[in-house]
This record gives sequence, C-alpha cells and structure tokens, in this order.
Amino acid sequence: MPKTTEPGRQFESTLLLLLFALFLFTSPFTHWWANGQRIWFLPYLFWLLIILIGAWLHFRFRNHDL
Amino acid sequence: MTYELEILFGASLLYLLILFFVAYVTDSGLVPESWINNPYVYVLSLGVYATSWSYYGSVGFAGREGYLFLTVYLGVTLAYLMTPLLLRPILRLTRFYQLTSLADLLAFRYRSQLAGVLVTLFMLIGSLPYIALQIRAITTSLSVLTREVPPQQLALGFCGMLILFAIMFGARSNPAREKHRGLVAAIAFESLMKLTALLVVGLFSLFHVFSGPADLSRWLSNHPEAIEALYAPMREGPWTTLIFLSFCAAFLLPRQFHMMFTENLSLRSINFASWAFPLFLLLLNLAILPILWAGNHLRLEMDTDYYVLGVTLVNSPKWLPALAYIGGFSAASAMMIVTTLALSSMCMTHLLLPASYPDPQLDIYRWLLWGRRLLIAIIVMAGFGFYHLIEQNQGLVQLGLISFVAVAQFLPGIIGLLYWPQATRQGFLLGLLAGIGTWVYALLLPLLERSGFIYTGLSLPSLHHSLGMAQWEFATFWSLTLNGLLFVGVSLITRQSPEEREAARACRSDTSMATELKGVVAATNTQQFTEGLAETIGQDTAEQEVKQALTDLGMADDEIRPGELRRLREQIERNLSGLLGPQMAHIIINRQLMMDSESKTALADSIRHIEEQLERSRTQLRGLTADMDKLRRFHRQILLDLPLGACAVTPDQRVVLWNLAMELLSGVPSGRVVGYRLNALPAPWGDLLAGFALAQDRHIPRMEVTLEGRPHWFNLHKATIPDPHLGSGWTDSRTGLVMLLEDMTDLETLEAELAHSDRLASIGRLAAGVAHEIGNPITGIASLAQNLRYEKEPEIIAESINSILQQTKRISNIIGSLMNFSRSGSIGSDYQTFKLKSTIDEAIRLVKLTRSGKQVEYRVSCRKKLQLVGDKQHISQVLVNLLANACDASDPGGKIEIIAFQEDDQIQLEVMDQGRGITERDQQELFEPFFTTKKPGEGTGLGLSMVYKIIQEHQGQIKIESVPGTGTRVVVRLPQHRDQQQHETDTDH
Repeated sequence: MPKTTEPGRQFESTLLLLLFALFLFTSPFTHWWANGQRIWFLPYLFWLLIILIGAWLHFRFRNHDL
Repeated sequence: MTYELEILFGASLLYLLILFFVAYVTDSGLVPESWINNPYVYVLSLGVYATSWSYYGSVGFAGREGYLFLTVYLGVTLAYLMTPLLLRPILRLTRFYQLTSLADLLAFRYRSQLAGVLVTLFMLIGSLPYIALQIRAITTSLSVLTREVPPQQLALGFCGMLILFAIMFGARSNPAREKHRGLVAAIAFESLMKLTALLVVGLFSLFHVFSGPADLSRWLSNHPEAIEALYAPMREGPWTTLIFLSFCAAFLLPRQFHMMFTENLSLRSINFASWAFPLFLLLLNLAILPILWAGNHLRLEMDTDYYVLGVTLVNSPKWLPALAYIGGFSAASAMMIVTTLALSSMCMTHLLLPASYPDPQLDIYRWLLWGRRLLIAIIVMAGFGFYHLIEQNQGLVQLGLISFVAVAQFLPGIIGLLYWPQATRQGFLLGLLAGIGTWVYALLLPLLERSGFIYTGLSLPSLHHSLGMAQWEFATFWSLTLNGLLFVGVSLITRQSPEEREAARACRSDTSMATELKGVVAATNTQQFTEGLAETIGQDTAEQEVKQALTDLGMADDEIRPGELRRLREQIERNLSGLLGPQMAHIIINRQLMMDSESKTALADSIRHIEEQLERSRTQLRGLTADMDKLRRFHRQILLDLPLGACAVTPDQRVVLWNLAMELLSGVPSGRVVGYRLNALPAPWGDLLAGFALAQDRHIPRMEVTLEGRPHWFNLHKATIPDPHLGSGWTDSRTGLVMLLEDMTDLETLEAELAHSDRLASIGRLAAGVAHEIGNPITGIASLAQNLRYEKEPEIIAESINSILQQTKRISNIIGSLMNFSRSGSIGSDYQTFKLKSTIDEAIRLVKLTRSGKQVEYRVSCRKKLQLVGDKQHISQVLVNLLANACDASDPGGKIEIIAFQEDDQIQLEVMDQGRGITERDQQELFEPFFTTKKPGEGTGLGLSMVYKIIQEHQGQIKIESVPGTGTRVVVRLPQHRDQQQHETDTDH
C-alpha cells in the first residue's frame, strides 16, 4: 500500500476533525447532550476541544503548509 | 447613571482619531513590517466578523434563543477547520490571479460579466441592511447611555467620518490590488478594542454584579430555568440551519472575503487563523452569558440587545459605560469600513466599468481611484438611507441573518469553482437567480413589509409557519435547494465554452495549472505589447502595466522569447484583473494581445512553463500525482546532473534544456540561454550547436573548439525528440533535438603525452645504434685531428678538415633526426604540407640506427614531390613504428618494401616485409594498447595503438594483411591535399 504523504495526512486529519466537530455539533448526539443538561458551559468546552485539536494539527503540519 | 451626548460624541471622535493615527503610522512605515505581517494581527483583523450584532446582539440573541447564539460562531469554526480544503485554495486563486472580491472570483471561474454583475448587485442589496444595522446599533447605544434620542446629524457625522477613513486608508492610491497595511492594522486594533471592552464588561458582571463565580453558580442553582432557557432552543430551534449560515458567512461575507483574501499579507497566516480565529471568537463569547445573567439579576428594563451597556450603568466606575460604548462603536465602524471598501471595489469592476468604460486618453488610474471613492460615499449613504427605512422595526439578529442567507447563495458556485470543473455558467447563473428570488420572497419582502415600506398582501410569515419551519430554515432550505438543484441540473445539460473550461482548469485545487499550453503571442516584443494595450487603456497606463508585469516576472525590457512573452501576457492579464476585474482584463487581453492561431507550439517549448506551475503547486499534489511529480523531479535531476553537457532544443531551435555540465563547459548560465534560439548563443556555442543541429551526422568525434584561446575537443552526439503534440506527420526537421557534448580535452592531452612517451621509448631502443653511429665518425674525427697536429702539407690539411666536416655533418644529421622525432608537440596544431618521400627517408635513417634495422634492405617507391597534409612528426612516428616492427619481424638480409602512391584523392602507403608474419588471432588485437608479441623489455605495446590513433586523427584508415611465415603488408590510406593532384611525378628507387 502506498505511503501517505505529509500533505495527504494533513487533509485526512482535517477531514477527521471536521467530522468530529460535525458529530459534536450537528448530529443526534448534539440533541442528546443538550437534553436536560445542567452544565451550562458544556458547549464552550466542546468548542475549546475542537480549537485545541485544530491548533495541534496546525503545529503538527505547519512545515507542509502552502 | 446617564451620559451627556457631547461626551460620548467626543469619545467617538477621539477613538476615530486614534484609529486614523494607527492606520497612518502603519502606512508611513513607522511600525515594523514584521508586526503587521504577524499572524496575530491577521487574526485580529478577521475579527471584523464580530459586528455590533455580535457585540450587542449576542446577549439579546442568547436571552431569546439560548445557545442558538453560539451557532453564529460555531459555523465559522467549522469553516476555518476546513482551511486546507476550502480557504487555502481560494487564497491561492485570489493571490495568483489578483481577484479582489467574491464577484471577481466567480466572474473569473464562470467567465461571465453577468455573473459579476449579479453577484455584486445581490451582495450590495444583501449588505445594506447589515450596514443599516451598524448605524442603528450606534444610535441606539447612544440613546441607552444618554436616555435621549440622538439627532440624525450625529449618525450622519458618524457616516461622514467613516467615509473619510475608508477613502484615506482603503482607497488612497491605485491600483486596488495593493495591500492596505494601515487598514489591516486599524481593523486589528478595532478587534482588540471590542474584545477588551466585552471582556471587561463580562468580568464586571461576574465580579461586581455577582460576587464571583461561586455567587454566579449559586444564582444559577436558584434559577435553573436560566440554564434550561439556554438548551431548550437547541432542541427545538433552527440550530443546524444557523450553523450552516454562519459557515457560509465566514468567508463569503464581503468584509470577511476582503480581510481574509484581499488584504492577506502572509500566506501562512491563514493556517494560523484556522484555530486562532475560532479562539478569538470563543474569548469574545465568554462574556455573553455572564452579562445576560447579570442583566437578568439586575432586572434591567431595557431591550436585552443592549444589556452590554445596561449592566455598566448600575454602580459601575464612570469610565466603564464609555468603554463599553467604544467597544460597540469599534465593532460597527470596522464592519462598515471594510464592507464599504469591498463593495466599492466590486461595484467599480462589475457595475461602473462595464457600464461606462473611460476614454483611453484619460488617466485610468485616476478615474478608477475617484470612481471608487465616490462609490464608497454612495454605499455608506445608501446604508444610512436603509437605516431610516427600517429604523425601529427589526431586531439586530434579524437584520444580520438576512445578509447571512444572501451570501449563502454563493456557496454552490464556490463548491463548483473548487471541486466541480464541469459546472457551467448557465447552471451557476440560473441557480443564483433562483436563490436570489427565494431570498427576496422569503426574507427581504417581509422585512420591507414589516418596515411599512411596501405592502405585498402575500401573508409571507404564515407560509413558513404552515410548513412547520422557522423563517430562517424556510428561507435557507428553499433558496439553497432551488439554487443547488438548478446549478447541478443545468450544468449537466449545458456545455462549457473553451474559455470557461480553461478557467475551470485554473481553479482546480489539485493542479493549479494556469492555462492550456499552446499558442504564441502575435506581438514579438514588449514594445508591441505596450502599443497593443495603449489603444484600450491609454499609453501611460499601458507602459506602467507592461513595466509592472516585467518587474513581477523579473524579465528584461528586450525580452523576445515566445514562451516568456506568453508568460508576460498572462501576468499582464492577472495585473489588469486586480485593476479592472477578471472579465474586463480577459476581454482586453484577448482583443489587444492576440494569440497567433497559425503557430503551433511544441510540447518542449512549454517545458519551463509547466515546470514553474508544478513548482507552485507542489504542496497540493497528493497520491499518485505526488508520486509522479517525484518521478519527474528525479528524471529532471538526472538530466541536470548528467556529467555530459546536455542541450535540448525545440523544432525551431529554441533551447529548453541547458544542464549544469553544459553551464560548466560553456561558462554560460542556463538563464541566459533557455528560450533563445541556438544561433543567438554567445560564440562559439551558437555556431557550433546550430551547425551540429542541422548536420546530417548524428555523431561528430573530436571536434576542436577554441575556448579562451585554448583548444578543446568535444565528441558531439544528437538524437531527435518526437513531440506528441505535433503528431506523427512531422519530418525530422520539425522535431526537437537533444544534443550531448562530451569533453575529450583531458583524454586528448593524455594521449598526446602517451604518444610522446612512445617516441621516447623508441629513442631508448635506438640508443645503442645511435652510440655506434656517432662513435664511428667521432673516432674518425679524433684520428684526423691527431694527424693534423703533425701534418704540414696544406693540401692534406684541407682534405683532413673536409673529412672532419663531413663526419660532423653526419653526426648533426643523426642528432637532428632524433631531435625532430622526440620533441613533444601540441596536438592538432602542426598540420602542414610536406614531402612524403623525405619523411620516409628520415624514418629509414632512424630505424637503421637499431641493430635489426641495419640488417635489412630497404626499397622505397615514392614520387619525390608527392605531398601530404598532416602532422609531419606524427606521420614520421607512424613510419618509424611500422618500419621498426617490420625490421624486428625480418630475418637478417631480409627486404622491406615501402610503396607510396596517389589513388584518386587519397595517398596509399604500404610497408611490406618478408618476415615471420602475424597469426590471425594476434591480428585482431594488434591495435589494442599494450598488446605486443615481442619479448618483455623489447616492446611497450603502444606502437601500433599509437599508429592507429594518428591515422584516425588524419581521417585515414589502416589495414594489416599477414600470412604467417610469408610476411606482412601494412596498408595506410590518407586523404591527400587537392593541390597535389597536378604535381609532376618522379620515381626514385
């Protein structure tokens, strides 16, 4: 199987993160965690989690950017 | 607490002056460039996304719709996460093709002026409510703080200041393609201001209204309905629809597009922004809920949209409300400035220019500059007019969402642009028209109706209720469904024009190949470029644009290479695109700088062009394409590092490859050669290579070339390069060539030294004979000299002296022959006309010095005046070697016959002996270096190989016929000098 290139891995990682973000915010899972939730800052936590993963990916692949 | 209107007006004025100052010092270069290019500044400048809607409206939105307010930022986060897939390809396109707005981008891809017009008009209509919203936010915030209705002149003055700022720092000079560093710095400063203000108000709410996080938690425990109010709308409201809308708005809103792509100063910044900008938005939103709950806790009697100001009016320091107000002011002003600049640029290139193109006699730069300034003023004032229309009837969020749904209509076009090359202009236009129609029907008309401006009688609100959808869901779903369906459906049944196909190819994110690689520009020099363009854009502008494009590409004014001129044409089109819009630039270039349709271009001619584009798109290549690119680079490196000089030329003899070895051999760098015709190369390479390209021979050995006064020798080889673009019908003269140069100079020098060594070895063998030959006359001289001492008779004395002189002359002849034979000469420089007979005689004299040479009889048959052109010394060496071998092979008393005669235009020389002969096996190896049949110490094995080399150099042939036991016949054929044909003949035995 051909080895995935660094830019290729960046695209794959970005897609995975996007799918994870969609899962958190626009899937039936969203309704589940929004249902009867008493932790008021939970959306902020999820949001921060996505941002931190995005930042990690940026620094991981920054030598391959552009 | 209330404020005086004058104080707040003064604060606004002071803030604007600070803004002017920030922009001015940046534009003046007082701020280090590295600061402005810093990704943090870029991220803050993107903060223009957060307008007064975010600043004031988010609290109201959260109060009414709970966590739905976060959707406005979560969608943006998703869009920024997709930077490598979505934003970076757009940035590449906008930078490379100098596309300054979304209308430019879509008009470029779909090659349609109508697309540009439609996008611009729709963007304008969609943005006016948003501009109005900003003005209203400022006036309302003033009335909240002062408890009085601010006069209209205040809003008007505010608009005037923003017009002035936008003109000074966004439209100060032309062309529009220039980056405005001052503007970027000012917008970043505004973002920092609103973030600071909002966080300070949030902290005040948390620690002053409440007594800290613990108190807030207690309050929330006592009011569980506050948390429930946050989550309930998530389950019931248009959560996903709003996320989708903000996703589109993140890069399609005019202000976002402008700051993200048009004013982008550093390519890498956008990758940094992929996470840093969402983080900025998260920080901005941290304060929203504490402010909302603080307002509820304080039971403020005001619209929740203005709680940001309201909470600061209760028991707060006096500066806090002013800070909160300035934060809102900065959010509104930044949005208005950037949106106006973006819209003015779009209106100029897609509305004003196509409607009234200026007279070429005018200064177009000036015309464009003042046109843009006028448009800035008109757009701001149109926003002000719209503010009057909808003054009190709409919430901030409603106005903002109208713009969001409007810009979402461009999403199908953008997806087609990046990922669907088959999408057609008709599909895009019809889809967009359907989307716009639905948007007008579902959102704009109800807005105008509610404002009391029109009456439609369509009962629009009831329609989406009857379908069980919220208004935004209804408008978004139906406008985008119709838009998308028509876009795809019509694209599938219609065909693209060739121009559109070319643009689609340029937009593909995986190749970035600019244009189809064929054709040459009809203009043959840069002067003709200027003359052609001057007819449409004026002489001065044409000169400036050609000069600018030459500078961009690093080309000289006297460029004439067709491949480079084609690149220049493309660069000028890109530059004009930044000035006049892509469609107008395309029309002008196609009309004024036509391509020569008759001219066929070979694939090889485009090699440099292709490689440049591949270099640019390197990081985009993936999978098999990336592997193939690696292979291409590997092959290219092989050619470049080849130890032979390699030069490839097109059918019209233009150089496309000039490798490193060629640079070293010639001392000419590839940059000065590639693209030029062979005969334009510096001497002697032009004549040498052009001559060889036309020559019949595919190989030329040992061609002598004088470089810097010294002789060099090269073996030349060539091969044709079939060109798939030209088909199979082309003859050899219409194919490219690759020529290889092999430097033989070192080998030639080595061989010369070897020949000299061989001669010295021969002299060594002659030494004994020489001693004997010289010894006899010296003994004679000594005897005569002794007798002379006592001789008195003058006659006998005279006779003795004559005898001495004869003996001395004999010695001089022997030494002269040896000296002639042994001296080292430079190769190829001693060609002369000489008499063959005398050379044969001298060779015999030398051979007779050896023991074996004395014991045989020589018969020479050669005309006295038979002449040969060649290196006399080398021919002498040939004869000595052949005669020495014949002597060694002969028995004492044997005969050696030397025959030389003329046959046609050649001289044949034969050396025959009656010796032992050579076996057939040995005959095959005779000319190999170091092969000898003699005993060790008697021969070096270099003699015949040297003979062979010398005959080759003289373009002759050598053949050996031998029968063991009978004798050997060596036949040498050398080309004769033509002048000798008529010489008289004389035979001497």
